[in-house]
Amino acid sequence: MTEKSSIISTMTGFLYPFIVLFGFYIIFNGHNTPGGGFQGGSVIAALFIARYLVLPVDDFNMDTLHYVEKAFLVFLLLLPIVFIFPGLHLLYEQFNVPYLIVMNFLIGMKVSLGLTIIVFRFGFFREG
Amino acid sequence: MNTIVAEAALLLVMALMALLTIQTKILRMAIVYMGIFSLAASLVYVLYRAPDVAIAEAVIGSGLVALLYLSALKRYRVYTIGVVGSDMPNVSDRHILRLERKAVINDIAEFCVEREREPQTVFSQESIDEALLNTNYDIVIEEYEGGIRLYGHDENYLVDELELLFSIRDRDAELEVIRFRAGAGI
Repeated sequence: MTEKSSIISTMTGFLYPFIVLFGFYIIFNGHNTPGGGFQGGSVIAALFIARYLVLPVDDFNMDTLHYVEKAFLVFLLLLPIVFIFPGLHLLYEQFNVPYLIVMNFLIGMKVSLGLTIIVFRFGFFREG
Repeated sequence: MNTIVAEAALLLVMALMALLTIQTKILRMAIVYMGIFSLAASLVYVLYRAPDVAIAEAVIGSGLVALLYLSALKRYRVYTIGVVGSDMPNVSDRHILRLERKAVINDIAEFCVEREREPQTVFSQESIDEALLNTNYDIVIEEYEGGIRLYGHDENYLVDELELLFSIRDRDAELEVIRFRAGAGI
């Protein structure tokens, strides 16, 4: 993984937009087709993994990633508390599908950030 | 009918890859075989009508886990060279620096640096049998009258390349490469 391969970098650059599209497709259609937040999130995380294969540079701000991931977790907990617990899903049934889409999106973002953080922490781990 | 054939073929591929994963002596290849195993498993999940699981398995099993194992392999880099001097009970500096042995150690160290491994040399007074039972050594060097023996782990993939390296170079003293099983002697 140390020497640069132009085949891998060219192909990864070509595949980048398709990985993003496929990931978001899986997330936003998760409520009625196979897939969902976790699967789409891991596909989007594969984008960063591919980037790590091509260019192992540690130019992300890890603390920011951590904060954003925690923020997604808070929203993930808040949304059901606001929507499900008061019984709004029975009152306004037309909002059930948007609710599922938003939940899938939050789960997807959380999973992709989490897997990215795991890979980068592991890949750039230094002793001491 | 076609799905049955495809299922059987994929399951066979999975079994084959699982066997290859545990049988191969090259760790990097084991990781690649494991990735192919995961890919076949995800196709089997599709055949079993679980596309959800298939997506997760394809991404995590063959992408993420393979990358994590590859970077773990990169961390596994300290290469311990054990030098045994059972024939001479008092190991002195002069003894350690005897020319031929030093040249061999230097060759191995250079080779390790090329392979991104960090060489670490341990001089010990153990007998060769004790040294071979000690699982900490990746390679053990023993010197006897007129020659040097290199004992390499059976499953260490660097030993093959080392053997090739030493067979290419000419050397005054006789040099022999012997394989042993980890923790089980020769």
